[in-house]
Amino acid sequence: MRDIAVAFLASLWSADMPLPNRLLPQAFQLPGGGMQLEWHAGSDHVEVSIEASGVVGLYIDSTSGSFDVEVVPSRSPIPRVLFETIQRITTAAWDAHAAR
Amino acid sequence: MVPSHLPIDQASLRYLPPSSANFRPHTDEDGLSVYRRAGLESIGLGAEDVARAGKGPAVVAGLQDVHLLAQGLEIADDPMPVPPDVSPAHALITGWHSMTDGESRRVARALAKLATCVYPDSDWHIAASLVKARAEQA
Repeated sequence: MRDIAVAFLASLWSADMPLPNRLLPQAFQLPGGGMQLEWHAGSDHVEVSIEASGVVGLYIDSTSGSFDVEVVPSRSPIPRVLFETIQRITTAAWDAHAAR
Repeated sequence: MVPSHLPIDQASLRYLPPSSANFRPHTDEDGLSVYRRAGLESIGLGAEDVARAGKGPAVVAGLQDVHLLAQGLEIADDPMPVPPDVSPAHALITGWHSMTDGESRRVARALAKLATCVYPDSDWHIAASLVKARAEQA
């Protein structure tokens, strides 16, 4: 489970996401041994549910709509909308922290 | 649930409604464990007593039966031996076994959005902040 989460974050923070700063997700345990990673800021919400079976559920909710899909790590590409939403959340979080 | 089960808005740092992860049942249990308000009231208890029955200061989420039924779920009384005070009001939300992981996630998200904070009686941010402050003082 941890390996899948680490591999997922490594993919997310690869050269495809050229932000100087990274934003750690909030992690919640799923019953049965899974893990859910979440990012939230304003109207942007991302949930990455890593099921005990190894399947990963991606859920994105933003002003442009919601997106719900299952992917199999290493076999399915990470959808572009996930990168874009996490980029917006990261930017919002860093901007807010810089202003404090 | 304890405040750490609530996500925060990473820009405003305000607590948000509970993660949908809290509304997924354990795979080795018959359903999602809850306490029914009517059952609590019949023995002179309430949501505050559920909050006190856990291992530490907690907030309590409330759902209405109609929300469960709309998601294809059912609720059944399931009195438990422990904890001794609130256990007669224990119940199980059932109907998950026929769902795929994807359906279970969708239903859990719906329940998380519908849940209101019933103890402390406030919005999630104020309630979780209050409970966290109490825990730090204890």
